[in-house]
Formats: sequence, structure tokens, C-alpha cells
Amino acid sequence: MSFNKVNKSVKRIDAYEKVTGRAKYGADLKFAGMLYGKVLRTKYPHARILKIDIKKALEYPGVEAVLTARDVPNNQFGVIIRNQQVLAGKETFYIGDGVAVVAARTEEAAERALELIEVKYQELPGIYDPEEAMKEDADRVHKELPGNQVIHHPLRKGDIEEGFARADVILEREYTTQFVEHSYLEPEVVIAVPHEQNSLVTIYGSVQNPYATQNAVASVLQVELSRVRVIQNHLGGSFGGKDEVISSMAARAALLALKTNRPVKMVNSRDESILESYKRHPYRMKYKVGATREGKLVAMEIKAVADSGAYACQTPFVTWRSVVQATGPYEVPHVKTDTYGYYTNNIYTGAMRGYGSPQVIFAQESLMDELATELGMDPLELRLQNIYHNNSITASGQRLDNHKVSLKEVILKAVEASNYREKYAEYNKSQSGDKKRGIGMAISFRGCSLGAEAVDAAAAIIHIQKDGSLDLYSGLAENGQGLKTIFAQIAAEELGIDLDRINFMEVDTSIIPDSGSTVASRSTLIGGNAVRNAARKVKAIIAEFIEEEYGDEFGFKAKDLIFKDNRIYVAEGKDVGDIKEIISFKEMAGKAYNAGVLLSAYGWYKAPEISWDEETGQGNPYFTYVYGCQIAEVEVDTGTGEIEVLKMTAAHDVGRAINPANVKGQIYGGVMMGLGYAIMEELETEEGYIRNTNFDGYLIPTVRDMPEIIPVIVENPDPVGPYGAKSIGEPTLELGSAAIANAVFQATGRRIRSLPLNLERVLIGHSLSKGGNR
Amino acid sequence: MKESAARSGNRQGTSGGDFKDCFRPEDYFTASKYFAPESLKEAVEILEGYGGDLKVLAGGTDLLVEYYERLYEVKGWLDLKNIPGLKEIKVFEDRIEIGPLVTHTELEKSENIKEYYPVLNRAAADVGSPQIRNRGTIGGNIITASPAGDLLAPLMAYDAEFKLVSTRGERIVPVGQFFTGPKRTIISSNEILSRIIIPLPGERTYGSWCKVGKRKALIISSITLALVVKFNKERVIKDIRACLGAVAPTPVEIKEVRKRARGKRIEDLNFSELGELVAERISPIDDIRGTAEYRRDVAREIMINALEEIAEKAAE
Ligand SMILES: Cc1cc2nc3c(=O)[nH]c(=O)nc-3n(C[C@H](O)[C@H](O)[C@H](O)COP(=O)(O)OP(=O)(O)OC[C@H]3O[C@@H](n4cnc5c(N)ncnc54)[C@H](O)[C@@H]3O)c2cc1C
Repeated sequence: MSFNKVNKSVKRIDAYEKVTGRAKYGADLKFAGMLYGKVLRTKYPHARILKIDIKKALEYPGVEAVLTARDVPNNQFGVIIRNQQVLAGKETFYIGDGVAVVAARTEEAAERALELIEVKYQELPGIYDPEEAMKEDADRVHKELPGNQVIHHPLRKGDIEEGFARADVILEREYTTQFVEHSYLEPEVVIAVPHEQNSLVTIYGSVQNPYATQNAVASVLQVELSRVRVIQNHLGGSFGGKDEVISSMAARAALLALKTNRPVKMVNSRDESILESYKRHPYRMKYKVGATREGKLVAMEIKAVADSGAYACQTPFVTWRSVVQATGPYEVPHVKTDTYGYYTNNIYTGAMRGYGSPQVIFAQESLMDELATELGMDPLELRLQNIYHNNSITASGQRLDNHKVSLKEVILKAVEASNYREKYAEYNKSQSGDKKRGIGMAISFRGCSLGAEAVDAAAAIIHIQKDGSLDLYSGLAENGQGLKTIFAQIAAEELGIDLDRINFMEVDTSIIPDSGSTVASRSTLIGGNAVRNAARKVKAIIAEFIEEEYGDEFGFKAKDLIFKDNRIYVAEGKDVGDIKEIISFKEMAGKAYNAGVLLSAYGWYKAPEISWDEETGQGNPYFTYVYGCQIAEVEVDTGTGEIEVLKMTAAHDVGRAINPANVKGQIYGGVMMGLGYAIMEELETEEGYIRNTNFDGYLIPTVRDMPEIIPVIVENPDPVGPYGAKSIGEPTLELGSAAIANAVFQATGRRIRSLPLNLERVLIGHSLSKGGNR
Repeated sequence: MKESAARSGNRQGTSGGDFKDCFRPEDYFTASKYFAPESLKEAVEILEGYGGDLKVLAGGTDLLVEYYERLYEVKGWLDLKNIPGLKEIKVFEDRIEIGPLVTHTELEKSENIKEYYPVLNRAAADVGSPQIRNRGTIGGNIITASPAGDLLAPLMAYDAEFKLVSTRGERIVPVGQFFTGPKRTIISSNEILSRIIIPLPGERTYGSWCKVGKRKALIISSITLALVVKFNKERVIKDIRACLGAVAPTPVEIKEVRKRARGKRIEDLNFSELGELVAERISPIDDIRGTAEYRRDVAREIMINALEEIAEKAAE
């Protein structure tokens, strides 16, 4: 198939405004009479609030409002389970809980007012470890709930006892992962404007998921959805992170705006952002695997426990993805998996790029290498013996028969591009000196889009002006991933016009239907289909109109028309490619307008059916999957524990690359985030307090830590995706940690089962720093 | 009002055209007092006059972090930038004098520093990021006196001296007596560091530098080692300085190394034993950049590596 606009590395359509600074971010916005909002946060992770006295704060010059939980019509919100407090009322559950909010004419006055709010706390003992939380006699984090369990997902396939009975080798291992911060460049911002254009309140800001925020604000204010309008601004990164924390901020700003009847702007500093925003879930995972002497997997038993922190947030869904991916892309006849989430008084955890997969992949792909060592096999061969092919049955009992299962192809391409076999053999020989090299791999399958989590549908609007220029709206939001460009390419491909004719509009919840959240690497797949649907609808209208106007004269039917190069043609003559122009797109638009033809359309796409049985963990949880393989080459200084990642090869089947340059961008970024997760990032907590609330203490990789990255794009078009496209955003970061840990093992002989693989763990085998004491 | 003007300079930046072309302190600090005298004499007089209320400003990379969101607390600024001579590196017969405003980038680029003090040169190249190296100065690094300050161990290994001036005159303090604790030195609030004086090392001097940190750039050191060894014509060790950073409240020299190694040839030294010695004599703590146990382990390893490196260089 040949394309004109898709499958091409066109320039990002929002690049110019971003590099010139013309693009406005939330913090750039100003409104007449605007006030500044600030949050007073709790002093203790877990405490009873005995008394809040706001009198002095209210009297401070410039202060317009001080609100506490009492002023919140409905104080609990959440996407899945509604138990997150907008402001702490009787009790604080984690160190980022807000206790009061202030709006003042200057930021200084707002901050000063915070100091004048008098709060009397009674500090309470807390639970800071899910292992504690799960004990029968543990205190309950939320007294009104029966226990501390947020969720339990069981999965049962085959007969686990029988499976292990058949095994020649059984390995049992435990792995742990850490709290991780999203580290978006732009800290959270929200501006709430009251009574703008008939809405009760309009929310602007760094919003990842406009509908989730709209839902939360409406529910907190107890008003109808149409009264709350959310307009997204340019976003300085999100990675899953600007969801509940923004909803909470938006609700607070909205309350202040309505109280004062003035716009209220809230901007988090970096410290506030790290202190308050939810993190990636730490997991503790027990894996037991059984295999035959020849290296065939026969049984796997998994228990994974996630720390949900103070609130449920997205724990039920994050852990659900873990269940589906926990065994990795391997045929295992007998599987028993139990995945849990527990409340603690730690910082709450939620969505972050990867969403429950990076943790289990670190465990399960480390385990595969451990098993290979045990069996005396090459880790690559062990994998190849057990991977999914077409018609394989997954752990949840799904037969993979509706798309090309390309895992073997993906692995072999990565192996070739990294020269894996040769290097593996070379690094297996004894190496002299302190610096030792190793190479390691990890593979995965990943369900695309939401799966059985929620309704999976999205909308788009195409609106053609009478001069042939076009406005494109989408219900899914640009988060920096390049969505606008991808959607514009799809619209341009269908309508045969240039990208510069397309004006991409920001998401506005009052214009375009709720399309769910921009998450789960679903935008190109679901939203892309919606855009294509809208484009095809307008195209059909245009074709019909052209047939009516010129069909008789030139002797063609609507279906014969070709849309290309901003013009509309018909095929002519015998040779393929011989075409005759009927009319330019621009002229057509003018004529259609004058003829009273509607040149706008709503596009809609609903994903194929899926199924899931909560009791057994069986069903078809996703309608399609992507496959990836990453290979890490490292050099470890055995004298200091320093790891240098020399090279990462990342092969990913994306179905079809709508924009290969963007796909590479996702690979580079995802690999770097995975590298940070693997070797340095860790939010250190101590009894619920956070020790590193800024980037001097919370380390993310710099450009100097960046290895050579070799992206390998594999394309096996999916029957469902637009032009065959599937997903790339999240698969890129779920593989790095295991690949690097496996490479470090080859280099040093030291198997590290806790992330991150920091200097101490590599050198002395365990971390002694207080926060990472495991 | 005074506060708010100073603070607004510290607010989160907005994107795009709102930035000034470059950082000009005088634009930022309009609310508090700001002086930029044109002579050292004038500078110390102003300093004396305000009795410790002024902050001496060099590159500002430590000060602006220290006073992040609290700039209004600073009563006034004494910017050294207009004082002639403070940015120079001057070579004399027996010594080199470095002005306190010489930046890390200049130390990294200077041919003289490269030739005579390669350890200092490489340490400067390991500081922060290009932006920090372009602004941060040797004087600021010394006065900040962070246990992890990257230039401090090298200065100690090269036997540097610091010239301090005030209205009452000058004094010259050897590096070994200068640092008294974490972020503490013997400088008084009315003094300015005007020169860093380092004796020329002479022939057959070799050095080795090692910085270990949790990532490759923009990282406060977990541990540093500056090792400088002088040999005589017979290849006997005349002097040896093993100095470490981030392993004690101040940069430290492990003097026992000198006692054990002086008068010997390098090939006759037991490297592991010296490594062990270094590991024993440091007094590291557990902090976010590393644990004591880790630092001891690494101190031993990097000491051995440094000796090996110098043995190799000396053999060439
Ligand atoms: C992001 C970042 C990364 C960094 N990385 C590193 C690193 O890797 N290694 C490292 O060692 N440091 C690092 N630093 C710290 C800092 O950049 C250095 O210590 C630098 O050398 C300080 O110099 P300055 O000129 O900016 O000092 P300033 O901030 O101007 O001054 C520092 C202190 O010295 C005083 N002072 C300065 N000059 C004089 C003088 N002539 N007489 C008397 N007092 C004086 C000031 O009053 C102040 O107390 C980093 C800082 C940042 C912000």
C-alpha cells in the first residue's frame, strides 16, 4: 500500500510554536482580576485534624478567601473508587494532603496567609508498608472500609500443582521496585475562571485528561457536566501524571473562583509537585517458575503486592494490567497469579507510562535469565523456546489469532541490530580489569488501549471552512507525544490535502464528546480511527456532491474519485495513475458552501468487544497486542558500582508507523525513562515523609547518561488499527530495567532483584540508605 | 514591597519571549542593596561598612540555590565582577596565582592549568553542567566549602594557599587550615578571597583524579579522590598527597599515606594496603549521595586505581 501523508516522517505541526515560545502553557495565562491560589499541606503523613483557625489568614491584606474541607460540597472524588479528599477534613492520610486553600491578590500574600492558618493536629501512627497493611490485625487506613485491600485480581489457568509436579527445575525469587516520580518538565498549573461564557466555571491548565478533570470538578461542585468546561493548554509533559492531581487542583481552584467570583490561578513549585502528585506503584513480587530440563515452561505462580498509598486512585486498573502481562509473552500451561493493591499512609500511586507493566516485566524477565542460568542455557534460546506465536494461548486463556504475533521477528531483528550473539559469547569470557561488560535482553507483549478497564471509544470532528481550510478537533489530548501531528496526517491522507491546511484545535469539553482519557497508548489506535471515520464521512459527502455537479459531464461515479494534492481527480485512460482533475479542494469547498452542503462531520470509533472474568482472570482482555524486545549493553565499574549503559537496541512492532520520526522519538524517550527507572530514580520515603522533593535529590538521567540508542521499527499492520497502526508510547519504557539488570548480571555475576540498580546495590549488593533499605 | 520585588525575580519562569537576553544581577536585585565596586579596596570598605550584612557575589550558582525563594532575606549584594584582576590566571617563576572569579570552564580550558595542575583541570571539567561551569567560580567553590566541592581535594593535593583581604590588610592561609567544617571556613565576614596561590609542581609530578557520582553530569560527588605524587630523578617518591572529598566534614588529606610512601619507589608500594589505609582513615556518613559502607569500599578501590594510573604514567 502506498500513502501520501501517513507512514511519513512529517514535521510535527506544533513544533514551530513550541520552539519559538509562541505556544502558551498554563503558567503563561493571565486573566483580568486574577487571584493566586495556594495550598496549605499537612505537617504529618497521618494525623487527626483537631482544629483549623483561618481568622488571621483571612485578615491578611490581599487575601480574598480561605477554604477548608467544610466548604467543599462533595469532598470525595476519583476515577474508579471515589475516596480521594479534595481537602483533608477530619484526618490526613498522606504527606501531600491539602488542609486549606487560600486565594489572594498576590502570590506573596497567599503564601503569607498559609503561615497564618493555625492547624492543631494529633499525630497518629501510620502504615507505611503494604506488608503491614495486609496483616489481619493491621489498623485500617480508611476506617469506613472493611480492610486495607484496594483490590485483588486472581488468575487461574490449568492446575498449578500438576504443573510444578512436572517440572524438573523450580525457581523461587522475590523482586521489588520503587516509587518513581513522573518528572514532567512543567509542574502542575490550573486556572479556574468563573462564569465565563455561561459556564459555571472554565478550567484551563496542564490537563492530561480533560474529561476526567471535568467529571471530578462537576462532582465536587455537585453540578451538571455541561456547567464545567475544561480547555486544555499546551502540556509540558505528563506521562500519566496530570490526572487526579490536576483534578484535585482544578476542584480547589474552582471552589476559590466561585467563592471570590474571580479567576484563580494555581501553580505548583517543583517541591510541591513532588510532594503532592501520585507516583508509580512500588511492587513486591514473588515468582515461582517450573520448567523441564529442556527449558520448556510448565508452571508459574505469582504473587504481586502494590503499594496504593493513601488513595485507591488507579490501583485497581494498574494492577489489572500487571495480571495480564505478569507471565510475560510465554506459553505457560499452568498459571496462578494473585495481584493485590493495599492502602498505606504513603504517597498515593497512580497512572504512569507503563501502568503496571514495568514492575512485573522487571521481575519476570529477570527471572527468565535466572532460569536460563539454572538450566545452563542461553537466555535467548530459552526465550525462543517459549514465546507466543500465532494461535498461542495466553495466561488469561486468549487465543492470539486476530493479528500477526510477531515476537520472534521482533526478537531476531533486535538480536541482529545489536550483534547480540557475538557479544554475548565475548562477554561470557573472563574480562580483565575493573570494568566489565555485559549484554542482556527483555521482551514483552502488551495489550493495546484500555482493554477490559472501561468503555473504549473516542470522537473527532472535522469542520471544513468554505475556503477549503480545515479545523480538526479530537477528544483525546496532545500530551507532548505528537498526537496532533498523527491525527492531522490521518485527516490529510483521507482528504488528499496538505497538513498546513489543517488547524488542530485544543480539546474543549463543551465541543467534543467525552472520549475517555489519553492513556494506555490508545490515541493513534482509537482516536486515529475516529479521525479517519470523520474524514471518510466528509469525504463521502464531498464525493456525492461532486458527482452531482460533474458526474454526468465527465462520466464518473462518486466512488471513482481520487483525493490527492489538494485536488479531486478521476481515473482516466488505461494506465494506472492516469488521472484527470475535476476540481481543486478549495474550489469544491466554496461551491459546496454555496450549494448548502454541510462539510462537517463527527467521527466516532468504538473498539472491538473484549471480555474478562474477575473470578478466574480468564477472557480476552485486549483486542490486540504489540510486541517488543530491548537489548542493553553495559559496562560496570566493579570498583565503584558505576554502570554505564553503552547501547540500547529497541525493536518494537507498531503495526504501522504513521510517523516514523515520532515513533523514534517515543523510543528514545521511553528508553531513557526506562534507564532512569533501572539505574537511578527513586523517590525515597521514610515513615510517609519524602526525602527528595526536588531534582537535586531525585535524580533523572542527563544527556550524558544517554547511551547510543538503536530504534528498530517493525511493521505488521493490524486489521483494526488505522492503516494498521497500533501503539508505541508505553512499550518503550517497560523493558529497559530487566534488560539492564540482565546485562549487569552478565558483567558482574551479581543478580540484583531490587530497583534501582544504584551504585550501592551494584557494589555491595544491597542499599543501605534509609529510604531504600531492602 | 521590597520583598515582593526581590521575590518576583525568583518566580517560576514563563516560556517564550519574556526572558531577558542574559542574566543581569542588577535587574534582579533592585529591591535590596546592590554594589559592584571597581577596586578591591573599595570592595572591602563597603563590606566593612555593612558589617556582614552583604553577600559577596561571584557566579551566584551556590547563592541563588541557597536563597531559592528566599532572596528577599538577603540585605544586599557585593558583586565582584567589576574588580580588575580577579579573573586572571598568572604564572610566576615558582607559583601560579588564580583569581577567585576564574570559572570552571576557564580552568578546564587553560593550557597552564592543564599542564601544571591536571588534577584541578579535570576536576573543573567534572563540575555540574556547561551552564554551571560557565558561571561557577573557583572562589565560590572554596568559600562555599561543601564537603563535596569538587575543586577542594585537588587544591589540597597541590598545596594551595588562599589570600584573604580586608580593610585591615591581607593574610595568607594554607588550604590545610582553611576548612573547619561542612560549609565552614576561617574566612570572616569582612574578608574577600582575592587569590588562590599554588606552587609550581616541578618536573616528575603526576596526578590522578576520580569523581564518583550517581550519574554522569550535574551530580554532587559521592566521593572524590585527588592523588598527586612527586618523584625525584631516581624515581623515588619525594612527596605524595592523597586527598578526598565527600568522605568527611571537610576535604581531607590522608597523611599516613605520605608517611608510608615517601622515600619509596612506586613499584615497591603495596597498593591494596594503601587503599585499605585510606578506607580506614576517612570518616564518611550516610546521606542521600551514598552510605558510609559504600564510600569506604569505593575509597579503597579508587585509591588502588589511582596508584596504578600514576605508576603507569611514571613508567612512560
Ligand atoms: C546545578 C548545580 C550543579 C552543581 N554542580 C557542582 C559540582 O558538580 N561540583 C561542585 O563542586 N559544585 C557544584 N555546584 C556548586 C557551585 O556551582 C560551585 O560550588 C561553584 O564553584 C560556586 O561558585 P560561584 O561563583 O557560583 O559562587 P557564588 O554562589 O557566587 O558564591 C558562593 C559562596 O562564596 C562566597 N564567595 C564567592 N566568591 C567569594 C570571594 N572572592 N570572597 C569571599 N566570598 C566569596 C559567596 O558569598 C557565597 O557564600 C553546582 C551548583 C548547581 C546549582
